Amino acid sequence: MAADRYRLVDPDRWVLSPQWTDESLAYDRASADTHVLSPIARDIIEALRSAERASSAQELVQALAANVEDHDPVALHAAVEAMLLEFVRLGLAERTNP
Amino acid sequence: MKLSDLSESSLRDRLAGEGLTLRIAPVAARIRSEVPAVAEGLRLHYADYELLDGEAFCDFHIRISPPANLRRWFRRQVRFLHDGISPFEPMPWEHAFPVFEWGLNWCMANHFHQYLMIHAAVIERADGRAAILAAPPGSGKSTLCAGLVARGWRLLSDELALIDPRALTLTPIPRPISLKNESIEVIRRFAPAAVLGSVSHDTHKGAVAHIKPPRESVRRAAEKARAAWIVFPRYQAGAPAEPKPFLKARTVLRLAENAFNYAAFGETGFRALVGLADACGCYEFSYGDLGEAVRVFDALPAGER
Repeated sequence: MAADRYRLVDPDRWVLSPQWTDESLAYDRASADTHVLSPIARDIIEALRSAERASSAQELVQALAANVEDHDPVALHAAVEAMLLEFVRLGLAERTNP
Repeated sequence: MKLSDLSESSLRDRLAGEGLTLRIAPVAARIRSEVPAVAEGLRLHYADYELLDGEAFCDFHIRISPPANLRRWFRRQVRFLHDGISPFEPMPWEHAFPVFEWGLNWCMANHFHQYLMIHAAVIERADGRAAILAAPPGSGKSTLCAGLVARGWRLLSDELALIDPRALTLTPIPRPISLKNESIEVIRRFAPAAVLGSVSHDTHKGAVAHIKPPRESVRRAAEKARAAWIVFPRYQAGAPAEPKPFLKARTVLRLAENAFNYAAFGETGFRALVGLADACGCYEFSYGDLGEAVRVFDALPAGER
């Protein structure tokens, strides 16, 4: 079975702050809410934005791994999957048909 | 012509008659009042401000007057009117000058939406770097502001950071510094030369007194400033004066919490606060001794990001 693939519902909806130490911010043009982003949430949003097509969790792990030294691949994969599910729950991202 | 050029009787006559029109930095206000404490407060605290022609355009038309009921004579009260409408309940007669100050704050906070407005003091060090002190009431913000101004920092505001949402410059509005309760005595001891007005007791904020803004700060009221630091101060008895770096993302959220009109600016407001936090050193700052706090501010590192 092909892995689920994800994309942002509306990539232009988000205005991101600079990537600061520990946390950054995203402004939601649709709701005018301001959200705090953990580094991994921020990296996933940027990876989804820059990808030419919807991404699988594994592809995102590979994209993120380049920025993380001495990462534990299993833990990183679990963290990415959890974050994607959270994005889907919040309506920020959606699954696409593989 | 400055307010100090008017004789005491001319000032009272104008206030009781056609009104006194003052340029208070970016604000032009026409003030009418027959209450002696308003005349006395303006004469002391606004002496260095420019008088405008009675025909000049005014942002705010303000009146401090007794209510049209028995409170005109018994347990006397005053009410604040803006364009003939009173946004507050009447308050005791002897609180007339603080009522004027609170009312002018209300006018600014509710109408000056060309600026992103944050409830904060703004002061500028001699090297041209400004600090935004953002905090809720009772945090020791005004005490710290008064202490720094007494030691030579330029007063831009004790109450409102007026931020140009695109240029990120800070527009001064150097009005009297409002001190409450214990801080009145703290500043009397710390800065005996500060010009302190009379104390209004038993206001809804406790005892309140105002410090006259330094003449030099009023003279330079047209000179905008740039923020180098965003500080969230908190007075804490016995605490060492210690600036602790504060996350920039959290700084933006705290500034938004202390803003009067962040939501009204939408994305522009977000970009403005992010731009400010990105350009400034951001700190939480607790202090228990004003002298120590001022020394820390005098030594804040320039250009830290």
